Amino acid sequence: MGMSTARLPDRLEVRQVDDYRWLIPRQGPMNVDGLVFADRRLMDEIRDDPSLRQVANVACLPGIVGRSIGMPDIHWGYGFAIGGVAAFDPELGGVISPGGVGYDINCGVRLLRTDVSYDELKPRLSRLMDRIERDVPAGVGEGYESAEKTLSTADVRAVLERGAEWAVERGLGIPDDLAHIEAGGRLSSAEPDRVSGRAVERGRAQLGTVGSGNHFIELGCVREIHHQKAAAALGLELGSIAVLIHSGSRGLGHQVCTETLDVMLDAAARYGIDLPDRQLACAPLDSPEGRDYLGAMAAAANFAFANRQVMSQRVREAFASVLDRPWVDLGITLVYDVAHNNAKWETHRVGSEERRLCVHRKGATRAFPPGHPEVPEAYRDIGQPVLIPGDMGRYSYVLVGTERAYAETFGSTCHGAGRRMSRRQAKKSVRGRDLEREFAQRGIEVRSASRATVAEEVPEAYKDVADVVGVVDAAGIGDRVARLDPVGVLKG
Amino acid sequence: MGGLPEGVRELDHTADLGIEIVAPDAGALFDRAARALRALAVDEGDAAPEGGGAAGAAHAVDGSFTAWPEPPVAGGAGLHTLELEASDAAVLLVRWLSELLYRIDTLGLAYQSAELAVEGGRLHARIRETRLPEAGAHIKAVTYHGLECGPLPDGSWGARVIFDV
Repeated sequence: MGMSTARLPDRLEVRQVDDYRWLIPRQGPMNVDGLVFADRRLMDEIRDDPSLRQVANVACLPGIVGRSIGMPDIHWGYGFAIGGVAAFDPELGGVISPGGVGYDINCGVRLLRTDVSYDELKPRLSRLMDRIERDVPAGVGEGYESAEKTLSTADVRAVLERGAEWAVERGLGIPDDLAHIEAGGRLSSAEPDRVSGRAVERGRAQLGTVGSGNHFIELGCVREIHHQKAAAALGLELGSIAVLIHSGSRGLGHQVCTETLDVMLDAAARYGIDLPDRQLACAPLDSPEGRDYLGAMAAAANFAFANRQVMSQRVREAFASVLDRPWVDLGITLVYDVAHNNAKWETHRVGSEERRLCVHRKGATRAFPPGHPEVPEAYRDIGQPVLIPGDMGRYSYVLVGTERAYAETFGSTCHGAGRRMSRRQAKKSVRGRDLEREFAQRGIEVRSASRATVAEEVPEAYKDVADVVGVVDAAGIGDRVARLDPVGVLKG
Repeated sequence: MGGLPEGVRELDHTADLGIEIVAPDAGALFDRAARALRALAVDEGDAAPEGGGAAGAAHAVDGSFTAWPEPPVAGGAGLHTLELEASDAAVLLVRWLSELLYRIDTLGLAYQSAELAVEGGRLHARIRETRLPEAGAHIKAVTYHGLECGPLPDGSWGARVIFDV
């Protein structure tokens, strides 16, 4: 069952299919075609980095079905590109790869809507951001000294088992929140015993924290509505404030990934899987190594769901305190919480057959169509909400999933803007500029644990997310609903 | 952040951070990699003065990946012995740096220097660490992506490793 030792050609063949689709036909050891969504301009940027080759590498892995897919925000990642989707069939020797999920297991985004208008909030925006900064730790090393935020071992186990449910049981949110989270905020396949003591230690003090890098809490104002019916169903009104929270499983997920890669490097050799890049380390889905990772990954995913749940409750309380009204009266409800780094068992049509597949999404968002049973009741007519953050200066988008995505991309779409500058280049490019003032002039209150993070995350370091969303909308693998413009941002 | 040690150069990658290292031998390479990790992961201005190694490691971590411990007790600076094994020098380098990163990120203990023996995929180290004012790291993981490590034609050692930030 091992992969052939044949290599991909030095120059990959890439063929334009239509305005938004590019095919990497099967060549060398590829088991399936690659398919990348982009317009010509984005493709020019994508060609500059190794991500197309990474799409082809993934197409070489055992048991992959359909196509190895790249989204328009695709960019270089470890092993798998960021912005990739790949589905594996256990009956064809399909594999699970921690590198196809990413270090930050179940990293994702949640969106809260409010009845608060921007005009109403504006005079108190600065105070609200101060309050959020105080109550939701961000950055590196946060919370370590705070006993209150350090969970007991029994608590960690409960979080790993029950995810967002754990938080709601503790009064951090309401039961209705759970109906608006992917998988109800809990993956029942979680096996906390597969999570190491070290991973637990790394995560113990980090529940309810933003972290660093590209993670954030953002207050946005709904500035454009593209799809009236869907916007109404999601409770998004022009001029109102909504909150985006982007974070994941923090150090716990990183530790699970680090340790599993170690195990899977040996496993891949044992199962005769030839790896073009060690970071593609994987094991068959039905092997002990594969099953162990699936259990640990689901547990880490639950930690991420709980993490976002705790943070959103802190944000609700901050609104209540600063606006001096109970958060329920401010209409702060959860629109949706969706992940963009995971691997899930799903049923999809391959050829003429329904198959049970393990779908890896690394930097890609699930985007199920209207009518799908996993779409919350309230959104059954419009499709699953998809949350696409942009950079911290421009805008973010809300989309819904489509039939076409279900048929073409295993029900997946893009996840963000994608970087176009390295962190180092970004820091260099902003030298001598007063970023705080620039953001203030744009009407954005920025709070950050580290100035360096803001420099690394400066808007021009990213592609314009409107271009990325424009491609998925035009290609039919996501339906644009609304645009949010940031007015307050908390970064790590 | 402190400067990078001799023989270490920062690479420029779109999303992340990588280094290239050259050193006279394997032991020196693993030492330089460890110092570079510290320089990149920790705000060096924060480092506490030398602890003198007297505090003792209150929270021993022996490389066990299975037991679920009680909450960690903040450890003091001191000497710490580590043995690692891997299929080759490159995988050994990732294991080594992952181990040190874990200690920075979770225990607040940062590599200072070590007596190091590296041979045939095995590492033995007596590590001197300093206590940081708080645990936490600007690097989140040590990846296998594009990893290289081994002897160069002239007999010195070279490596390339990429970090997730």
